Amino acid sequence: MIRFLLLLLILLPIRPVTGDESPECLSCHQEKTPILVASWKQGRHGQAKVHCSDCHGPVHNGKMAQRSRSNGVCLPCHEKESKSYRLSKHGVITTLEADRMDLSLPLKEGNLRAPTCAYCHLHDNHHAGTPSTDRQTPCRDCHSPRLVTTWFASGTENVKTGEMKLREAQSIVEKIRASHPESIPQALDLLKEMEENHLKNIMLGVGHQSPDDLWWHGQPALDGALLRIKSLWGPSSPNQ
Amino acid sequence: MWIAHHCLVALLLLLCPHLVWSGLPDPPLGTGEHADAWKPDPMHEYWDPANHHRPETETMAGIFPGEVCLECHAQITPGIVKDWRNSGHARAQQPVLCPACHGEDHQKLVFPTHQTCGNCHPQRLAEMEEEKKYGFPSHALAMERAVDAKHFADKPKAEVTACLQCHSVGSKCDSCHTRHRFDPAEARRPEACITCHSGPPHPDDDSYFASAHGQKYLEEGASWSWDKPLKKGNYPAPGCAYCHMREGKHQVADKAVWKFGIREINPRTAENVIKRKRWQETCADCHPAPVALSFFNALDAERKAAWNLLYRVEGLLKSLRSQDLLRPAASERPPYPMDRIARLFPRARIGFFEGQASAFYNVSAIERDYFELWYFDNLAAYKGMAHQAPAFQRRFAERMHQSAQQIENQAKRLSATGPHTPSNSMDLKSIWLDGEYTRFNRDHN
Repeated sequence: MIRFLLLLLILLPIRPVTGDESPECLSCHQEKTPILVASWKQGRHGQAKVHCSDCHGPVHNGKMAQRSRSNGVCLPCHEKESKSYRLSKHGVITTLEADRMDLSLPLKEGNLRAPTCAYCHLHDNHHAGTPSTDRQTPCRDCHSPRLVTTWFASGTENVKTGEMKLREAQSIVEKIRASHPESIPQALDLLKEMEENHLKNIMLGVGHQSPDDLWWHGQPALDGALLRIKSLWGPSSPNQ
Repeated sequence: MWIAHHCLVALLLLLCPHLVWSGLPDPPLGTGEHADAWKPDPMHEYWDPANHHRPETETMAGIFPGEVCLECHAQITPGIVKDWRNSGHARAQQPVLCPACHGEDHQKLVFPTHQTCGNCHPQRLAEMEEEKKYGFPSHALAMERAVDAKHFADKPKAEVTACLQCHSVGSKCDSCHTRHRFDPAEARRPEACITCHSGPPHPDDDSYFASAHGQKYLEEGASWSWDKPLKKGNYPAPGCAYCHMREGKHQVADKAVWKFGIREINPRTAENVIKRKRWQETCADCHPAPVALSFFNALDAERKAAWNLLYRVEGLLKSLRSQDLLRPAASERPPYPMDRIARLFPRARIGFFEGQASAFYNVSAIERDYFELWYFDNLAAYKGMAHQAPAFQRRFAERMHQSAQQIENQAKRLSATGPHTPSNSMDLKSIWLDGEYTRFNRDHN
């Protein structure tokens, strides 16, 4: 009996948590780490009911923070976003140095050789996601303020050119609606591709500094969809 | 005398109006063949520092020894200091401190280039320089060819910064040896290449990982000792650098026979025979000569078949052009980039030799279909074959056939519609020459 109680005592801190586990974590952490909990509630993960254990695991074993800092926990929900990161230099270094990175260190001060997802997006314990006003902060742990500012400004311009292509396409789709209504389903499909894939790839490419998404899956892909929409308007429309 | 003086002033103002009028646009400051036609994006200084680095304008001024740099930057940018401390540069008997590469004067900081690294690594620099005699594709000429591309000069510069990010391999060494660790072991791994060698025209990553070599690497590679030189017997299967930079030689062009698959070549020229011998020697580290030879023959046969298909489709498009069946016609779309003559005598560009690589936008859908067939599916099929990933090659060969069929069907429809006549003519110019992005592209190089 005593043995059993001792075993229970040992196992108590690593009890598995099941079901809607966040309330159970919150009952303690609202007192222990109130800022962190409040920040999680405000953020997208809190709003979307992504629970503590989804990232930290169900076992309270002292390695919960460490577990959540590795990219593996983000992938099940963010597969599309992860491709551009995986191909970026940050992603490559993280892949190659996975065994050598000390994930027990806090996500700040360049403690990792290259940033994992959480390093930038939940920098310095921001459980609501790194605030938009602080987007450049994680980059500056390693890169000069001048490089970071220039990169963000250039990236913003890059996205703007993509948005121009989308708006130009939208205005042509309106003309098609009036003169070639039979081509509208095809035009709308192309427009959707532009908005949901190609333009998003540019944003991911800028954010993750990933040239493949930024260029081949971004700008020239937008060009292709735009000219195909334009080709739907005219006497020799491919559908006719 | 008075009149002569006034005439001189008037002449001076005529020749140099900016002396009194600051309303003139800034002169273009590009580089390369079209230098006078474009102005760099601010990011350009990081991708091609030798040509575009701007002097420091921040408040920090002074001459600093390395120890002081480290002390300050451990607070400002701690990541790079930690990274450097784990580098060979830091562990050397005579540590290579910050000023060795960046200079001591904070107002005149240097961004390292190949030349900077070459000061201590002259053999590697010489190997890289030697690539230039083989032309492009090569790492050494990557930046030069990027800015010389007509579509690069033509497009808004923020849009094409991603080109420079990869092509910066022609300007500096940290594409493969990431700063500030500069670890050769990292550069030997295949992943070191995939940031740039990925995507539709060069899926080197996917085709290699699909091959037997890549599969073995994926299964066991993490446990191999990457500190060893890229020499026979050191690795159970080759990564990219093992074959393309044999024995660590910083030279990727001396075996380039099919050159990305972008055009048909004759594999039996004297130059290509020499290159093939180099390949054979490389493969011989693991495979007997007949295996390598049969592989080259299979590759050449695959390319022959691919080019037969491409020429057929290319011919079809040229025939549509000669029958005035392409819509928009060349005169109804923005002119071919950087071509002044094309403004007077517009012409649709079809195929490699006419420069279609820069004509993937502002063209009719069928021309773009051919571009994707040639530039994406064809190049992917080539990579699949060259990396010995047969399933990957077949997938893209099938896509080539499907795409060719679709283009042929579309060509029939265009022929049925017939050329422009007053009765079916519509104002295509308003669609193709106007529009928010089209205008912006025209006005911003």
